Amino acid sequence: MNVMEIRNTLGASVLCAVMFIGITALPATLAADDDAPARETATAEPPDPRLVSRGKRLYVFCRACHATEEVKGSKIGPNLAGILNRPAASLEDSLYSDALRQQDFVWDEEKLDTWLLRPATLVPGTSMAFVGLPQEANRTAIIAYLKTL
Amino acid sequence: MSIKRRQVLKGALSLSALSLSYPLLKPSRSFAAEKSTVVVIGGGLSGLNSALLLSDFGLDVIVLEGSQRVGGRARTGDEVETRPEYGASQIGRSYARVLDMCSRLDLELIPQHRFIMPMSNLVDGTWVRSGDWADSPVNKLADNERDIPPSLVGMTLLGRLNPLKELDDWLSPEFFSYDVSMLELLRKSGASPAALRFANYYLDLRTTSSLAIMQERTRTVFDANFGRTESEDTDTAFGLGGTNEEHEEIPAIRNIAGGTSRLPEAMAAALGDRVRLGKVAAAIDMSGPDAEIRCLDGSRYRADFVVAAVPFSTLRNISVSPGFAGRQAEAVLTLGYRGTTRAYGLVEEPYWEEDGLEPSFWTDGTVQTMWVMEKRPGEDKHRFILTFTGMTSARIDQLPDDQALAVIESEIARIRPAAAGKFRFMALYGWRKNPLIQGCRHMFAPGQIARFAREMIVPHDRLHFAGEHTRRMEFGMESAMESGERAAFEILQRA
Repeated sequence: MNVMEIRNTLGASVLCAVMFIGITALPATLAADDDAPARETATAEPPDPRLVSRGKRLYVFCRACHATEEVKGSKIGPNLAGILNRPAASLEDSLYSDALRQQDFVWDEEKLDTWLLRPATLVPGTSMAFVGLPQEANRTAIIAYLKTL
Repeated sequence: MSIKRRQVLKGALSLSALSLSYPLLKPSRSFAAEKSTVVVIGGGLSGLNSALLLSDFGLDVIVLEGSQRVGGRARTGDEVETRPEYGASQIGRSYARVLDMCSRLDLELIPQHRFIMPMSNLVDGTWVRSGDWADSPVNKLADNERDIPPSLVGMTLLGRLNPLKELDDWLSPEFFSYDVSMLELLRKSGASPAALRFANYYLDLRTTSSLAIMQERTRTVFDANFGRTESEDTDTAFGLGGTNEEHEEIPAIRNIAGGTSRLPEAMAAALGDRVRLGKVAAAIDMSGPDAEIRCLDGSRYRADFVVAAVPFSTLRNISVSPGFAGRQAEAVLTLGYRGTTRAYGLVEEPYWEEDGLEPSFWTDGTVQTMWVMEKRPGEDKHRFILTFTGMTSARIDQLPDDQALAVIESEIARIRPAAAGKFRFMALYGWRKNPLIQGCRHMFAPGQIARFAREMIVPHDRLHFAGEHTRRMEFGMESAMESGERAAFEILQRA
C-alpha cells in the first residue's frame, strides 16, 4: 500500500482540511475551520458552515457503519444520504432491527437528537450499537452535517 | 524527525514547510525527547485504531509497542504449519469497526471454518456419548439442566437469568444487583451442585462477576440476531455463538484470510514509522507542562496526550505521575485478569474409530476440552484444539512448554487409551505467560463493575484509556476497536 492509498483510505478529505493549518499550532481537530465551507443546499435555512464543518469531522466516528455520497464502501448500517425527513427504516436493502421497523416516525432534527444521545432510549431493541453523544454541541453539529447530505 | 514519517502523516504537499519549521521551533531538548501530540502506549488493535483516527485528524501520533510485533492479543501462529490463532479471530456480523477497517485496508474476510465434531463427556470416570448425556446415570444435573452438555452449563444457566436488554445496560445501577459472583447468583437461582461443579471448570465462579458475563452474552446474542428478523438465543463456551449456515447471505462469523495478525499489521503499515517496536514504557510523567513517557531503553517521548492502550495488568507496572486516585486507582491495581491456554495439533489417525466414542471430548479432569475439527477443503488431517481455562490453565502455565505438553499427552493417553500416539502437538500458547499482557482478557470480580466500571475510563490528567477492558458496548476484537475510537474522540475534544 503506498502513501496515497493510505491517505485515501483514511479519510483524505479531513486530512487535507487540516494540512493548511500547519503543524506549529495544534490542528483544529473538532473545531470548525474556515477552509471547508458547507455545500450549498436547498433547505429553507442556510446551514451554518462552521457547524457543518464540525459535524463533518465528527462523522469520522460514524463512517464505520454508515456510507454517504462521500463515504463509500459496504457498511453494516444504512446509507445516510438524504436521512433528514426520511421515514424510519425505509431503505430496502438495509439491515434494520425489528424494533426500528415497527416505528412510524420520520427522522427530523428532534428525533435525530434523541437518537444520537442514546439510540436505545428512542427505540429500545435497536441494532445500532452506539454509546451516544452526551454533549449537545456535538449532536447539533452532526445533525447540521446530516442535513447537507 | 525523518522525512518519511512526515510524508506519511501530512502528505507531500506540506512536506517542505513542515520539515523546515520543525527545528526552528523546538529547542535542542527535542533531540533528547521526541515530541508528538499524542503518544499511544500499546500497539494492539485499540492503540492502533486510536492512532489511525488521530492521524486522520492531522495529529502527530507515535505508537510505542513493547514487544517486537504489533497486534497484542490478535496473534496468528505464523511460525506453525497450521497457523493457529492464539487469540482473537472471530469477526461477527455486527463488528462494524473491524469489518470497515478490513475493507479499507483490503483484507479479505472468509467464513469461519470451525466445525467442531461431536463431543463425548468423561464425568466421574465414565465416558458418555453426547446423545446419551441427558439420560446418563452420571448426569446429576437437575431436571431443568439435564439436557445441557457439561461444557455449556455455566453459560446456559447464566443466560437464562440475564436481564440485560440493551448493550449498555450493564453500566446502569439498575442492574448492579447482578454484579455478584456467578456462584452466588447460580446458587440463588437453584442451580444444582452438579451444575455448579461443571460451570466452575470453565470459569472460577467465586471470582467472576455475573454481570460481566451477561454483558458479553448480551453482545453475543445481539450479534447472532443482527440482520435477522427472528430472535434466537445462542450458547457457547468460548467466543461467539452461532454457526455458519449455508443459506445465510452473510456468514455469522468470519475470519481474516491469512490470519488475524494481518489486521494489526496492515494498520501499523498505514501508520508507517510512527509505530515503534521494542519500546517498553516504564513511566508516564505528567507533572510538567506536557507528558513525558520514559522507556526502559532510556528513550523519552513528550506529548500533549497519552493513550494507555495496554491492559491494566500492564499499566499497573508503569509508574504514572501524578498517580491514579480513588476508584480509578483501585481499578488499575485490582481489575481481574484471566488466562486461557491452548494446545494445537493434528490428529494422525482417527482414534474414535477404535473406541467408538466421539472425536471431541470434555472431561472433568486436567484435559478440559478437546475440539476436533472437521477437515477444511484440502486438509488431509483433522486439526484439534485443547482449551484450558480457570485454575487448570493457571497450573499448566506454570510449567515449561515441553513439560506441559508431556503432562497433557500422558493424561490423554490415560483417559482415552485409543488416542495414545495418534495425535501430534504443533503449538502451545498460554496468554498468562505473555509478559507484556499477562492474561487473555480482563475479568471483573464480583462488585467491581459497580465499584469502578464507569470511573475507570475517565481521563486522568493527560492520560486516556483504551483496550478491551475499557469497552462500553462491545465484545472481542470489536471492543478493542471501540475503545480506541473512544479514546481518540476524547482527545479530539481537548486538542
